[in-house]
Order: sequence, then structure tokens, then C-alpha cells
Amino acid sequence: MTFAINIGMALFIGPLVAGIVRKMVRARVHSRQGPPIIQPFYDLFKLLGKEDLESSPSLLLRYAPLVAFAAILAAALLTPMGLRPPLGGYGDMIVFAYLITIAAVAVMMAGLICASPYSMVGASRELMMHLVVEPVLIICLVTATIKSGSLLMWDMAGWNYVNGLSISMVVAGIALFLALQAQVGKLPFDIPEAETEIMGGPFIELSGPKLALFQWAFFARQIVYASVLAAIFIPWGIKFIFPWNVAAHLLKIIVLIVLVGLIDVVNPRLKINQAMKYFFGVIAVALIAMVLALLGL
Amino acid sequence: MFKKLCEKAFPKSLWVYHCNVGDCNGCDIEVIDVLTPYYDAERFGIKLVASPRHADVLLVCGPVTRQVVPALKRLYDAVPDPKIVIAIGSCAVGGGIWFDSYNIVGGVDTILPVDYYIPGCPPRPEAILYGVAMALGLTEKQIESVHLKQLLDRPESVPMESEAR
Ligand code: SF4
Repeated sequence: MTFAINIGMALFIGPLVAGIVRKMVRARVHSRQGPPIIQPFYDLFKLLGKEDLESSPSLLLRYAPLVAFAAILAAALLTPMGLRPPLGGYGDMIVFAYLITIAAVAVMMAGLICASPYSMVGASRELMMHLVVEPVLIICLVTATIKSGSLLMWDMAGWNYVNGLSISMVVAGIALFLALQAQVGKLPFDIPEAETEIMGGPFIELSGPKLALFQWAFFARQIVYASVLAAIFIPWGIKFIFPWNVAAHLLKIIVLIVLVGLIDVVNPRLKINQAMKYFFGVIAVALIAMVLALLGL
Repeated sequence: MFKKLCEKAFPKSLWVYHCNVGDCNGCDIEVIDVLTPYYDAERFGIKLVASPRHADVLLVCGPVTRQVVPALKRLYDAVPDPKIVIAIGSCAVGGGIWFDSYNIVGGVDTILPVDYYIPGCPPRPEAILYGVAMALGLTEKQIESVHLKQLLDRPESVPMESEAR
């Protein structure tokens, strides 16, 4: 049951929310009609049905999309999405961090294996972004751990709900929200992909099903990151009775992702060094949250 | 069943790759025009992609110059099946005003199998959208192909202008 909810959220709500953002936010801001809401599904199925040009004979390239997809789905099973996560008893936030990193490494591998200068640049940018963005997530989760005394994400959410808001958790939540834009790869920080600049970065040589798997993994990743923020740092509604807690969670992540989409439309892309500077600031905010938590605030 | 789903999704999500094989930039600008919010090609699921490996449709503009022939063939191979080729502009359709130039091979169909032709110099954005919509089966064809009877019936003794040269 919870398995079905988490997998379904990641696999189907992810593309759906992306479609809503494209139609309701992006097209509205451009004052045009925009594609139908289920356009991401059309794209995914079309890509799955296309020929797969083996642009490199390497096994690494063949399995990189599968690894990324599987890692994100496993991470989704560890994330509380309204209910207690189905694998919550088996893995804590450290496993979660590793799974997310595996997905990022798979993207990097796919980029490095293809002999295209654009994909190399994309892979190195992905690495740099991951190195500055991931610490924010880890530090915020550590803050929650210090407060709640547990490494399990569900316990953190429950503690936060029961004990009410504390300064350190609010600061950590703000830091995580500031990093969310980059975690889901949206515009001021879509530096690794940069469609108009390095033409899709690590994915430039991928075709058909491989590209589809990566895209699907990214749609799911959006949901996973938004869920972490929504469940742990905005604990409203997690103790509702059954269908309502999932509905409340859904509402929270849709609001978060629409907000991210709005920021995405109205911003230009930053250069990588500007993004670094920004994220050192965000890491500082997250560290302040951790110190506050250690002081018991 | 899954395969059917994929085939159904294909016309709903066409990613186009635009390539210039020697045009005067007039057609390029009209193609870019189609993708602006004013014409909003995205409502049909049409998206401009930057890599031929992601593309479903090749929009080819301009007469094929000798230099570009090998590159154009490689480009065609880099697009995964199923793929559509659309020739945009009089030049791409049959060479246009350069049809007998020394460094022009001819229209795009001398090199690649072309599925749709959109003539015009340059074709209006509406014409390009109309052509693509016809390719997607959204609209009907409005004109019949005309059989040029007078050319066949003409007496042998009167040479055509082009033959007279
Ligand atoms: S058809 Fe006209 S506008 Fe297009 S490339 Fe040829 S000369 Fe230029």
C-alpha cells in the first residue's frame, strides 16, 4: 500500500506536476496556450518507443540510466510521502544521501563516457553543482537529527510535528528551500544541462529509451526533494487520517514545485562561479541552523 | 500494448532539430519565428532540441551545397528512428533560385528522403505551422496536386524555355 503510494507519486505525479507547471505557470507567464498537461507523458512514451542509437559501446553508458532511475526510486521509497515510508525501517537519511549521490554519479558517468565536448563540460558542471548543493541537504537533515535524536526521516517529521516549530528547524527549512531550485535542476541553476548553452550537457549523446529513463528519473527526483522539504520541515498535516495525510502532502509538494517553476520562468541562468558563491551563502545559513540546533534552540 | 502507446505518443510530441544546409538565413528566421510565444508551436508538443540524437523531425532549410553533403548524411544517421524530414523553403524543395548553380547539389530530396515540402521564399510562419499540422494529421490538405497537362500535350516542336537554353 505505502509502496504503491510512494512509487506512484514518484513515477506519475512527477511528470504530471511538471506538465501542470509547463501549462499553468510557464505558458501563462509567456501569455500563450502551452502544451497539454499530460505532455510529459507523451514525451516519455515517445522516447521509450524510439530507436536507441548506441552512441558508445560502453556498458557503463548502457546501465547508467537504469542505475539513476533505480536509485531515485529507492530514494523515493525512503522518503515520507504523507505516510510512513515503506522502506523507512531499513534505511535512514544517510542511505538516502548515498542513493541521491548515486543518481548524480550516473549522470556524470553518462556524460563522461560520450566523446562529445559538450557532455564533458556538462558532466564536470554536474559534479561541481553536486558538491555544493548536496551539503545543504545533508546539513539540514543533520540539524533535524540533532533536534529529534533519530536518523529516520519519519521520526524527524513526527518530532517536528509534535514539538512545534523551533528556530533552528525554520532556518534549516529556509536553507533547504533556497537549495531546492538547484536540486531539481531548474533555471537559475540548470547549469549542468543548460539547453541553450551546452545543449543538454551530459545527455547530448543519449537517445530514445536512455534519455527517457533519465528524464523520468529527474521528474521523480523533483518529487523526492520536494517531499523531503515538505514532510520534515513543513510538518503540517502528517498526522491526519489516511487519505487526508497523503492529500495534504500532495498539496504541499505541488505548491512547492509550482513555486520553483515560477522562479524558473522569471530568472536567467547564472554562471557556475556565481552559483558557487550563492551556494556557499546557503551552506552558511544551513550551518547556522545546525549551530542553533546544537545550542538547543 | 506498450508499443502501441509509444506509437500513439509520437505525433503528440515532436522534437525538431533545425539545420541550415546553405540557406540565406531567411528561412532560419521564419523557423525561429514559429517557436516564439506568438505562434506557440509548443501547444502541439513541438519543441526545438539542440542535439540530433533527441530529435524526431529534421527541419532542413536551404539548397544543399556540395560541402555540406557528407555532414547532412551523418546528421540524418544521427537521428533515431522513426524520423521525419521536412524541407522548408523553395531552396530546400528544389534548389530555388540556385537550382543550376555550380556548387549546389539541388533540393534536399537529392540527398535525403523528404517526407514533407513547405515551399515559399521564405515560407511564412503560418505556412510552416500549417505544414507541420498537416504532417501531424491535425488539418486537411486544402489543394490538390495539379497535373500539368499543357506540358505533356505540348507539341514536340516547341521546346520548353529551359531546354532552349
Ligand atoms: S527559400 Fe528563400 S529565404 Fe529560404 S533559403 Fe532560399 S532564398 Fe533564402
